[in-house]
Amino acid sequence: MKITSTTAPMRRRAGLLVVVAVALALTGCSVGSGDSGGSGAGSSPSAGDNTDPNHTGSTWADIKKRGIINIAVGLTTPPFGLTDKNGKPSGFDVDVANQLADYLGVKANIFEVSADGRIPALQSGKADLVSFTLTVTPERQQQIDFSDGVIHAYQGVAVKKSSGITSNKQIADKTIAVQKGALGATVAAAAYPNATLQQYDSEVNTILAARQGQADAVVDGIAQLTYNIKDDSSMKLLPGLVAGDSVQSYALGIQKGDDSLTKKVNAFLKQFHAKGEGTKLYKKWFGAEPPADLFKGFEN
Amino acid sequence: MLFLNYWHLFVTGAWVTIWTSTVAFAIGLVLGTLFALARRSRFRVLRLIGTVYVEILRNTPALVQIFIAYFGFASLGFRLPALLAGITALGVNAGAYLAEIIRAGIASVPPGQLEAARTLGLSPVQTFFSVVLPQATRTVFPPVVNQYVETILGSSLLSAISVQELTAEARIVNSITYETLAIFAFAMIFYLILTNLVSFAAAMFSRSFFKPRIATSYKFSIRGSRQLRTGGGRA
Repeated sequence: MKITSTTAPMRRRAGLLVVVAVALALTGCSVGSGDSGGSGAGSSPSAGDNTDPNHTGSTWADIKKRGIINIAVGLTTPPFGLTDKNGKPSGFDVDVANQLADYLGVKANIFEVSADGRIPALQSGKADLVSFTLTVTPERQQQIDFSDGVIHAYQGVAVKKSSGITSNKQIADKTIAVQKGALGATVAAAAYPNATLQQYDSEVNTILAARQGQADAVVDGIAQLTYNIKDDSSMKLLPGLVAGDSVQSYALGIQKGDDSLTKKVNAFLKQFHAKGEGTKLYKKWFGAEPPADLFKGFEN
Repeated sequence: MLFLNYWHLFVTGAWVTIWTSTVAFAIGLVLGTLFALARRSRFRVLRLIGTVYVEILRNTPALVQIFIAYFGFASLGFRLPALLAGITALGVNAGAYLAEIIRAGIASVPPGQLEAARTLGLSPVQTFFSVVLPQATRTVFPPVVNQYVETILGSSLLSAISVQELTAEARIVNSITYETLAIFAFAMIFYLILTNLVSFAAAMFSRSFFKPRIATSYKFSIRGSRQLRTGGGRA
């Protein structure tokens, strides 16, 4: 019996199957575990401990069983979150996250989210913890739980030196660049209802916009602003807080109702502050002594 | 359903989406026609320019093009406001796709038509406007409408350069109330309404403009009547 060659429709179907199989294999290989996608820094635990890396859940028992804690950070908010030369996540918040994972005795899976993806990441369970310049506010406390404070913060204003603006009140009718989903957006909207707000996806874009003249001012956390304009002679920081803002604190975000993890994190933070780690990390990342009351109430 | 208190933000966002994508699409149509003709011209330089434009803009991500238009040019000192940069980038991007669509439409007119037109003594310009254009428009209409819908969806990328269109407003409301699934489902419904309105309007327009009918995604039928079939689609 003669062996017939394949027909054109058969070859087309086979080709399609190959393409679909390759596509499935490629998507299966990608490790996307964050809102903006990012590779996890955690590797699978060594054989010998009875952890299950596929276990889901965010309570302390779940995390211990899994051996991995999923921590969402931002990587476009220097010096709290950035990528180093080798492309690895680094920064103040990332160091806090790594120290927490070491204290808890689990591996850290650190991945990137955007500022407006922090709380959805917690709510959806993608993240067990958020370490991303998260200010404690009553509105947020209705959605998530907070640990004790890590560092004090307030919203500051940065402008171009050539703009001639000298006080916070003068930006009330100007264009202000803020981050979507960050406290600066809410505070600026409340303090300057007549200003035009430009809402960007990341802190570096807000500073870029002000530097390029697309916006007249930036409202964001004072620590980030100080760091980002210290090498930029064209920008300056305006003194004082934005009207209606008060000194608050950044804390670690935890899923609502997750008391077991909150207790553990607070225990970590107690010894973190007792050892003066906050001041050490500040000196490391900001290159200077912290202002006197930056860790007031935490470290003394 | 706290986010419904902010419904007016969604409406303003939808309005920004509509008008930015319409202006961008208009720019794209003009550019697309010009570059389609350039690619078909007998001068090599024009063909080269057309090919470079189309290939670069079709093979790079629209988001990168938008960033270049807004942040990139500004870093060279050429500062464009967000709306202008966004609409221009979207329009130039759409123009590349439309150039290919229109070029294919013009090429689809049978050469016999051109020969017949020459036999009848029509000049090249007369041939283009009286013979080629009406027939090419029939071929080109559905993909062009599709490109308009794609431009509407592509306008969501403008949220990255602080344009307050629908997606940006959804993200802003989300950072107020955090009802993520409901909010983005609501935004999706807005987009569905917009795009379906466009398709429906296009179908209505083509029904009265194109005789015989061309195939559209919205099909109209008069039950029991016999109509001329033009290939594809139930009558």
